Amino acid sequence: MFSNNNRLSTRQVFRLFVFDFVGESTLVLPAQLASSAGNDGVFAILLGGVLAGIYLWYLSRVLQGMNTDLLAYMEQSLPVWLGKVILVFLTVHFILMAGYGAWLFSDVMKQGLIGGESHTLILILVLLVAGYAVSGGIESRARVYEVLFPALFVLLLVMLVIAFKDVDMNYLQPFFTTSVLQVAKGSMPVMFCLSPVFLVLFFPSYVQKDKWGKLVKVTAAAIVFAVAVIAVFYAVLLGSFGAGALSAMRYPAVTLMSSIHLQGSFLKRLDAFMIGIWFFTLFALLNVFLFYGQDVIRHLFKKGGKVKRPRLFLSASLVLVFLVAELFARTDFTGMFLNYISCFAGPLLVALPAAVLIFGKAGKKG
Amino acid sequence: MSNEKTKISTDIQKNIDAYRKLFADCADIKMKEMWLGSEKKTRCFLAYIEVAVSNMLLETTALGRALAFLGQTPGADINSVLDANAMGISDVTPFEYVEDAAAGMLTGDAVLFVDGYGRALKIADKGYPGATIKEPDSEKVIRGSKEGFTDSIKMNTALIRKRIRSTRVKVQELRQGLRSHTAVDLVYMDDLIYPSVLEEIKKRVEAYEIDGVMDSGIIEQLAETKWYSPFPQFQTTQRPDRAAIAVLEGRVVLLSDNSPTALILPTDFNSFLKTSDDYYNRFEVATFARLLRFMASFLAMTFPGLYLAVTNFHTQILPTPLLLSFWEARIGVPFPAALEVLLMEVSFELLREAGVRLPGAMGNTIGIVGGLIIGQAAVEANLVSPIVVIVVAFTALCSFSIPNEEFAFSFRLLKFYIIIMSAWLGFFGFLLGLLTVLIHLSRLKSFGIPYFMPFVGADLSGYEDERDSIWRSPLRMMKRRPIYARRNKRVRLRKREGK
Repeated sequence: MFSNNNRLSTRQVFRLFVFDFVGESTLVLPAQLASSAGNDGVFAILLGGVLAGIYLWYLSRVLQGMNTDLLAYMEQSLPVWLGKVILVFLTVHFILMAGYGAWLFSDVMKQGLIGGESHTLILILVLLVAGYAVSGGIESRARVYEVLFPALFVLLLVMLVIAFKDVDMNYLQPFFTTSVLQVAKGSMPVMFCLSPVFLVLFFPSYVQKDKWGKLVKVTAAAIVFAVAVIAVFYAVLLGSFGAGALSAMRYPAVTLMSSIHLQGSFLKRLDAFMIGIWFFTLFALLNVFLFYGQDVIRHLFKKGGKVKRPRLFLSASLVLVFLVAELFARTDFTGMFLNYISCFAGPLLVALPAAVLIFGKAGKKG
Repeated sequence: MSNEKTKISTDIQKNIDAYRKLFADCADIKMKEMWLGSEKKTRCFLAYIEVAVSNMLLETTALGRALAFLGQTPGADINSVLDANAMGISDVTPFEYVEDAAAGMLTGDAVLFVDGYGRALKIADKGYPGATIKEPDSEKVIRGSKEGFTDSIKMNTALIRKRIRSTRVKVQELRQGLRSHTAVDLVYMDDLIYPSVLEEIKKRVEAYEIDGVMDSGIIEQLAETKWYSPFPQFQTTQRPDRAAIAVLEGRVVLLSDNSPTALILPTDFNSFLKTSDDYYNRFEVATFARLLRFMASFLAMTFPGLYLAVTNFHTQILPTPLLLSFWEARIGVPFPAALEVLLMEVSFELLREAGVRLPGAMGNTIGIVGGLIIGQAAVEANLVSPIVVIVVAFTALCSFSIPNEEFAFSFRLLKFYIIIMSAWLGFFGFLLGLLTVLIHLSRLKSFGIPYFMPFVGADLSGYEDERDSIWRSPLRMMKRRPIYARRNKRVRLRKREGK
């Protein structure tokens, strides 16, 4: 009957990816880009977008070869032990990413909305809500963001328009002052923020087969949309603060929100409302990795094609994400995490899809 | 209790004994023995509920006419007249068993046993007393029909049929309630409805055995899958035109006897904020009204919480003069703002409840006494600040703007959740509360239709349903039925060729 099919529309896929891309990138990227690429940060964003596009093209080729989603293909074509090893890696990666998202969420909320409350309380509350969202399945998750999308992006547009009047054009010039290497270096964090594109490998089971071609197209559209938003946002921040000040800020977007003063309005500032944008986008980031994290754990412990006690795996995932987020909050785990991403997870996420496909094909032939 | 039935005998005395035994100690059941035939030698037995059948047995009633006719017929011909249903009246139902005849009588008609005739006949009369047709109080419209459903299920199905005079309108009758035997009708358009949806509805309605069904609300609660949700998953209406629109959309209207409230299913969030006259008015007017209602439903849930979050946690967003006026208004108020808001909201809900329960004129008085006099006195006594009175009054205004009472109630309940979250964690709590509600709504479905349709999953109907959401397109652009109708039967408007 009607929609009881655990399937997503391509519009939902587009909106899910946009939420996954935009939250972290608009918060964390500007300061990093300002320090590495300065006024040429926009080029780094564009380069990052191009790299993400190439990565997506590569993933689409792999998908064509697999003719199903990654997990199903691994199950069908890889030896059990190899499949388990890859699942363990994916579990660790997704849980770490979800933990990072949860920490970022709680940190931004603490900075921008409730300075007096503890990280732990914020984390517990947000993870409970995330658990509730994930237990509703992918359709429910997609519906939340499909509904929120117009409201949040209209809000973001309004904010950018208001902020635009404080932009000092002198801050935006001159261009081409940094080396190509610096721009390339700046594109790496952009690529990291767009790395959820990897999840396109999981989508075929949630999208009707006749729409698989469109799936890649809408993911590409989401990358273009996100890159445009990040670039405009960066330009507004750069024009408002200048590269020097911007690179010293932790969350420049939050600072920008609090510095905008509305003249002759009922409200003087809009920062509390505007942080709502990151509330929802960072929640999406946490949510997406929590969803796939618990999904992969379920596959890891699947017996005879059936998953027993799915709630138990979700609860275990929530506990793990909480512990990782606490690790971020209480120790200097960020440095280790960045090393893990740049030296291990990043290259592996590039190599893994092709490796799985090659092993799978070889196994079938054998 | 034995389920064995007593076959109606040709010996009338046996039937009379069985019937009298069945209705022993039932003072409201009238049982009369009479003599029929031109010779007045054929014994008969008439049973009926006192108020449901005219005592006078006038010539103008079907029963009166039938008895008069049988009174003129020769005794030897009576059986053949009864067999051929040649009494000159249309609504006669024969029964083979005494228990079936009793059940037939309990629907509000008379039952006639005739000596030597092995069946009983149910003859329709005026039926049970019920309220007359009037405009429903809860769904008033400016433009459109002023008729509302009544307590009689037959009247209600007729009111729908009056609006859609098509042979494709089907009415399936079910009986619910082990003891009440309440009639439940499913009204739908045969060629538009998905058979699987109809089957699912029947399955859910019949899933529980209950002793009595006094209102459609009982069926609604038993048939809902997410029974714990504050949001109704069946749409209700007391307006026949609203129900008829639903039937034309390919939905099912469920009518329950003794209830003026029809259930419409499947349904979605959007449907609860539509009114009948949205379709009778111009699209600009309808769209503006809908926009107001959507905003009202959001603010009915969030406005007090938002006020608390801003005044308790994020005062930096307010201009200084406004902040000072808020602060001045609260001088002398002994309660924290959160408690003040909660007190006022609870007081308002009490006033509302009192206003509903009291008779009409007194209900209005309660509104004036509560709203004006007590409110004014509370402000003057520094128990609450005038700002909070404004916030609560505005919230109430918003909740009154929601056209469906059950739906408005969901927002009124969730308002307290948002108040508590906002009072505890400020705007973060507000957003968290809002997100929880959003997630909950996104998980709801009504017979497979996402509750958020057409804001989500609009691709299922080629984005056509979006033309009738917050924005109501001009009528000539709304060419297709919503998703509820069968995929190949969605065209509802087309221009005549050559015109």
